[in-house]
Amino acid sequence: MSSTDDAARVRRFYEEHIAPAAARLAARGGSFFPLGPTPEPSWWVLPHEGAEFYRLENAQLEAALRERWRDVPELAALAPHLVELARSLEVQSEDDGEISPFVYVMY
Amino acid sequence: MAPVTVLGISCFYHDSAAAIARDGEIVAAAQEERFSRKKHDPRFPRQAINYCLEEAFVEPDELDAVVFYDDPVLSFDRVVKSLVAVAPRGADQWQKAGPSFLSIKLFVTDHVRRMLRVDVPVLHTRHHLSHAASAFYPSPFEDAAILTLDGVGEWATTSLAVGEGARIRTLKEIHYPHSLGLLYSAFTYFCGFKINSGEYKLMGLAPYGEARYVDRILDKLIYVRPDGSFRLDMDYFGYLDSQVVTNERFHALFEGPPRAPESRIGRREMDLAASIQRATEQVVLGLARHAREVTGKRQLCLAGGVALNCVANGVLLRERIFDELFIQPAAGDAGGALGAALAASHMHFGVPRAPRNPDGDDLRGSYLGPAFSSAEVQAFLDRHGYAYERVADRAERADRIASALQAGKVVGFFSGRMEFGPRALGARSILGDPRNPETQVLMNLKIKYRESFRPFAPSVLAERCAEYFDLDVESPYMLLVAPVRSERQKAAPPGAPPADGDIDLLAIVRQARSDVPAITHVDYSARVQTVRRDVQPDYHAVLDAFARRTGCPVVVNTSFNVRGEPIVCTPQDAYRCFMRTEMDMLVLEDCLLLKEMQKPLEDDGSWRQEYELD
Repeated sequence: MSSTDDAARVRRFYEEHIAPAAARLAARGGSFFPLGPTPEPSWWVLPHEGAEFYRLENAQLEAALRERWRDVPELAALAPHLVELARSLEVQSEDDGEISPFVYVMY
Repeated sequence: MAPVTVLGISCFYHDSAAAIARDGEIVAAAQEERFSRKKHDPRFPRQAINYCLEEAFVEPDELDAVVFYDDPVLSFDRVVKSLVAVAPRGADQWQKAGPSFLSIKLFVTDHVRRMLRVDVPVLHTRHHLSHAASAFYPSPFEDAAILTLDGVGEWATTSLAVGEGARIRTLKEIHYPHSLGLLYSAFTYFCGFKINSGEYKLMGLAPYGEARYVDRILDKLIYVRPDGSFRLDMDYFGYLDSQVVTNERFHALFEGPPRAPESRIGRREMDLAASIQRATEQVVLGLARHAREVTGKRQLCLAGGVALNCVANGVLLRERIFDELFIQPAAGDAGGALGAALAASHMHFGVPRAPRNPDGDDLRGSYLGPAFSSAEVQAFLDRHGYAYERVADRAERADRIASALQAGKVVGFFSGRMEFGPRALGARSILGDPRNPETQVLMNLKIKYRESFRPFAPSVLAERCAEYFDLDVESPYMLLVAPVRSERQKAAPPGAPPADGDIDLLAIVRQARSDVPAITHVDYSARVQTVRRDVQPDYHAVLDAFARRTGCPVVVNTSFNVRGEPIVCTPQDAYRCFMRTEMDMLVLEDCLLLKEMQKPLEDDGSWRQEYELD
């Protein structure tokens, strides 16, 4: 399978899974982070809970994502599909190594 | 008991690297770009790992663990939640970046084992803990407050931690999308420079400008609380839902579209640079004050890409919020490899932290990369038939180099272990005479192949730093900007173009601002490296010899590369760079090569196409 096919499948996944999950979340007024200033006197937050060091084997990935999203059922439901998609993708070639000059690489 | 040997790696985002620690002592660290010759190479650091294993004399199956500097589940959590937050926008970003994240970044453990061909334990840790550890553990401090600031790592963009003995506790964080690093990067992009490499240029441009936009930035883009915490107004940024970091609203706020790369820099860009620099300094000071208040510590460690802003570091030092600062020289993501190795050694495997040496840190000058012996260098030169002269005596060699510098020659200096981090610190450096007003132009146009509005950085004998700079602490990693002493400063000559007009920056930078003009910026500042004899004896000897000849204990120190090329790693890289430029002399350990004695490189006419401009 080519990387073009993979990109198309990833796109399709967005349309079939992520966008509907987003719509369901929006319908119940859920949000993950503020997009600007809010009235609290401080914007410091506590670090995420979890071990400072941990092992993540391939077989544990779905459970790890479900755990991360245990309070967000719309996302927890995505976990098996995301892992299935991830496992089915061709391992991306690292040969390019190009970095877009316009985007801070955060994905 | 067998020593605990831990390999740290950082990769897949920016500047991949590997580092290895044995019982908490740093054995080696290097960035992949130096081996692959691809600047900012983000790929799996296979060559850097090979080097680290060789330096430590271990095989992969002898490692206690490989530690990845980031938590992929938490990073993926951010990616997915960001997508959901902006849906249906963001689909293009997902299509472009999703495949590599899903197929590689979620399966780091498999990737590491596949590459190392061994079933080694693979640990994951937190991105900002890696940064914090990279600064705290090697620092000379028994305990300290730790601030890390970068674009983003998992969710955190800023973290405040405290280090005590062998333990680091993260107290609080500021989370994505609110990021000082991304704010600075937005202006980097908007001013026509590349993100993740152009930040230095923006910082260097700032002294030419007037900070007339600073109120606009602080009123519209970033909101700061009295406790130093901050938020961005995402209405002005594109990085959540597009492939560009700013958006039309940002452009309207700053009176037009972004500057096209390589086009003329105008008044607006200078003023924007000055403004975002001032705003950044204010935010950093606020964070530092809060860190002091919360932790009660007298020392501060800094890491994360924002800690490479040496102008802000200089301001922080002069504000005296903390008694002492220690800044990790590989403050960006490459340093995360080192931090991951150290954090796991101490916090996971329980290796005690060695007693601190108040006279220095554990980084050994950041000379943590490969070295080449004189015998290896000679073998290389002999094999290719390159003309050289071996000068084994250090003092005599240093005097020969100093003599060349005094005569206006430009010298490539390759000595000892390669630096870890973005700065050349006298192991892979190009040197020049800072007193000569022509040095700046000569080195830029004939060596670096660029026209730069930035002056070069000085290396100065540590024991004579105070004669030239208002700096009362050591700056071994070139991470502090300090003023050139007032008695050495020179006013701009009559009729010279003003520094605040909409004019040619190169004309301004060519004005002699002090008796060491090649290293003095338009605002009389300099990015100082202090050099100690006990840390880099060969480089110290060169500065000492130059001082004996000229009275000046300062040389120009710029990285040994041309524009767009990673800093040289091997004698081969150095020789190639020497021959491709108008450098006059090359020092490869104790071998001296003169340009006029060399034959031209064959079939090397198209070398400039090898490197993308930075």
